[in-house]
Amino acid sequence: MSDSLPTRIYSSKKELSFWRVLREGLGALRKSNFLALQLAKRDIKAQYRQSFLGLLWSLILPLSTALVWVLLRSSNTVNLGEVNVNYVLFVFVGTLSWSILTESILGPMNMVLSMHTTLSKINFPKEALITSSVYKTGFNTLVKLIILLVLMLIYPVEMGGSMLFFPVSLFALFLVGTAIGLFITPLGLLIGDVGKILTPLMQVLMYVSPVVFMTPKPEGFFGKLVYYNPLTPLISNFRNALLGLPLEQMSYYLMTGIAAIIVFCLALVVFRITIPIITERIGG
Amino acid sequence: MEDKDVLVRVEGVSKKFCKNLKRSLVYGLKDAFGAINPLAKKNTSTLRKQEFWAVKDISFELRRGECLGLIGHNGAGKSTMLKILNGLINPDEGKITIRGKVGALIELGAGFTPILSGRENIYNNGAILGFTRAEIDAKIAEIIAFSEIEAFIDSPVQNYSSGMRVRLGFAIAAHLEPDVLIIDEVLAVGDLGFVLKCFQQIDKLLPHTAVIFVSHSMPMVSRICNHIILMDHGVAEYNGRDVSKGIGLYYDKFKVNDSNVVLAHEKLVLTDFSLAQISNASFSHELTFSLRNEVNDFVITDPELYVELKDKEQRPIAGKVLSLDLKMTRVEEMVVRLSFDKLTKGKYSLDVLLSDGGTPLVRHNDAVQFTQHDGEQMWVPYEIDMKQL
Repeated sequence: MSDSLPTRIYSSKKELSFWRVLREGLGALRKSNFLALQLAKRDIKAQYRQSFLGLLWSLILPLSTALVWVLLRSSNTVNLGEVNVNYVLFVFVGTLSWSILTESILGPMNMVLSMHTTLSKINFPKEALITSSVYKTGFNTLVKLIILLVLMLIYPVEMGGSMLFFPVSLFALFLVGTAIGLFITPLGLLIGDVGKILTPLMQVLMYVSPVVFMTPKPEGFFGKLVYYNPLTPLISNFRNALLGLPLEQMSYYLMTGIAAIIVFCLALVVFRITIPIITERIGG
Repeated sequence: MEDKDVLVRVEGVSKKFCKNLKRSLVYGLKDAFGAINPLAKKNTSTLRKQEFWAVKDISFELRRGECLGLIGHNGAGKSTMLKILNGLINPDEGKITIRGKVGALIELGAGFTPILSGRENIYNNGAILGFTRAEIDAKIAEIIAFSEIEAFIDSPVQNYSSGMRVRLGFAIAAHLEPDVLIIDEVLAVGDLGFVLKCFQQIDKLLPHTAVIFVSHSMPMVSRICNHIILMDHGVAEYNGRDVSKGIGLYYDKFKVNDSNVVLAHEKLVLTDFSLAQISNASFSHELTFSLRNEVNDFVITDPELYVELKDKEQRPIAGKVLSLDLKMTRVEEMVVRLSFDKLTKGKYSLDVLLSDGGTPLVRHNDAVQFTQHDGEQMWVPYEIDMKQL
């Protein structure tokens, strides 16, 4: 009977094989799904349990952000150029895509940080923290997509074939965000400065991405900067798909996606190898 | 040859820690890069600046049904050892092989979300401990019943007392049915009834589990363990199956020679206490001490020495008043022989009081401490007076 018991070996001299660790990591991602779901539910419930407005908050914040940009633009305070659809929809979808990216990038690190006391006490599959962060971002996105649906009833858009591309563009946003987030997680956990710089950095990055304006032509310094920003096709094509507009920069888009898959796999392996070292240094 | 029933095999495990946080983080970064770089030279066996061995060269084997007691003073490396066993941190040297499901009773309820209800926390905590949803659904009634907090199970955990949290935490963890169970001094908070219930549960698990038990309560250790490792500064000072010897050595560690002067006299000083066991009579000791007369002209007319024996819980066991024959030179060394009828194993201390015709002059509490290694067992069974009516 005891022959069938799973055997674990913890040793100082481990022979690490990239493919084996990757396989184990992907397996753990799949197997820890229940835990991930449970952690996401826990955090979402805890977030809303003590508030009377509850889910209304997810409505107020993105709408007010969009409203600010609409006012800034209509009062000519900032010149954001012309856009090809209603600006309310344009800026709402833009900020939605940006919040998916930001949450996906910061999520894994914050999730590990919030669990750091448990980390040093109970041995659970840490990969669940990654999935759980994706679930939480997914939930927030779902709420915002429902608001968007209402907005689209108020400001109708023409149906377009690119709308079929929406699931892919949504997946791409999550993939790139999570890949970057997972990549910086081990570093950010050991060095507090990394976490501190990320939030302002994301704000700066937003202005060189087509969040509140259209992708410019690759002319001039700023135009080139935005055009060749790898996040640009992610955001513009998410919006194009949602609003039925033609897709752009497709080959660059594809390259970003492939790069994100490679980065994700690398980051997953690094995460899996370094988590005992992180537990040792930050676990309380 | 592979022994099938060995669930835990630990071979020469060592772990080093860094005393300084910033440096520790830098080392962490270096280790992380070293770990992912296949070309990096792995040099884990030497200490870097400000590092020390938290655990050094520990080895043991544990089979199903066995219980290892890990004892030692605070900071001896016990919890670090448990973290390595639990797979939370990697050893710097050596190898651990663990077979089967590992359960840990360490800081119960640490992962509770205060704002959510007890029931919701059972699901969350259960998931972290490795239960599936179906397993929790099947066991939730049992878990709630065991924790004895049915009435408050749907209240937020932040309103629970610390004892109630531990109850819930233990109830969840104890239903995991592990092959290897790690218990780290967790039962200190619950009330007596619950602690007894926990031990019943541990007793139930013990026959088909290998248990690693960390505690400062020696009666608990001697009750359930059959193998002892006494740790001191990361090193195993004792590693073997003679549980009472291990516990005896642990008690020896707290033999300190700083006695407690509770009554001092400006002209008389008692010093240099020492106690020697007379080799051929195990319950006889010779107590040696000096009486220093600071002014050389102090006169004691009717000197008496009172010696009281106390056990480790400071309960008086025995005492005796002895009239002394004093010459009252400047320094006088005295030897008195103490014989005890019987002593059970354990740690004892002596209080010494010098008085003059009933007037106390000098008193030292814990003047000397000693450990009785041989002797009768704690609970000596005796015959019950029983007859049929």
